[in-house]
Amino acid sequence: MADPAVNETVIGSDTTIKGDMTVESRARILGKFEGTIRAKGHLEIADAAQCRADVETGTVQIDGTMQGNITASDKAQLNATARVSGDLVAAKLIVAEGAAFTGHVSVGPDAVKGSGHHTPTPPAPPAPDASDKSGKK
Amino acid sequence: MHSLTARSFPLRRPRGVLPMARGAGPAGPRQVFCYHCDHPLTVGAMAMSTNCPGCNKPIILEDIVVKSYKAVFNVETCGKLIVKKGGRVVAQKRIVAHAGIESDGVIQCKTAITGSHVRLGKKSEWRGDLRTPTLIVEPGAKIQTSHFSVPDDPLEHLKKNDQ
Ligand SMILES: [Zn+2]
Repeated sequence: MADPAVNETVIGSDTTIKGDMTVESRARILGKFEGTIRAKGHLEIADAAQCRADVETGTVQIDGTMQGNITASDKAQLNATARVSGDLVAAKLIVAEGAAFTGHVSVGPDAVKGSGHHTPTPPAPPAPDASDKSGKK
Repeated sequence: MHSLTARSFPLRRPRGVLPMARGAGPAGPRQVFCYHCDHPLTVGAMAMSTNCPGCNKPIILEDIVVKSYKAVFNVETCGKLIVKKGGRVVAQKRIVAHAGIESDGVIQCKTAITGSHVRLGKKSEWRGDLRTPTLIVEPGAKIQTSHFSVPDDPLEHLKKNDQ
């Protein structure tokens, strides 16, 4: 169903980004990324990419190195060159022979429904009252 | 004196778990490791069981095939664990299958350790921690929250680069 003409965000191989990224459709990471990624469509982490992030996405395809928790509402695909460390929740999981993975895994339609604890933290929790300095952190 | 008659090893194969003879083939002796003490030993290609010279405990060398519901304490073999469609293995403790696991059924255990690949078929279900060098998960497999380690440290190369 993915429209090939749909917008795709590409982070190039010579790029390093730290922060939070929200993508409406598709994203492809070829370089380095640190932070959180929220992609409604498809996320691809390419062969030489290094990603240290919590990810929430529809489908994710990993060929590179990934450190962080992954929640895929549809499908997570770990290809042979993937190196993943972190917890993974997905409706469907495909692991190719040769992929390396360590972490807790939950796979199945029910796993995604009850996966609230894997949701990446929002970028900046809004302070209820900036002037209140005596309050909690 | 040729006393090569079938010798009954005091094997404790889990009840109802069917052993399967290794596929007929002219392969020569193979080396296996005792799953009790890791002692290496060389056995015949068609050997189905033996006693470990290291710890003197009986060890199963053949593949174990499960086609129905089997509740056991441990599943241990130097061969493969094969769970067919409709098969269900509930191991209270551990599963050790040195030659790997192939599942199209349901496997529940506390921990599973293999020395070769694990394949979870599209209709399979898994529950339990797993340590294996190679994992193949086909789309549709269900995994309940379990810790997977494939292999032990996938980010080892990054740590080396950092140093
Ligand atoms: Zn032994």
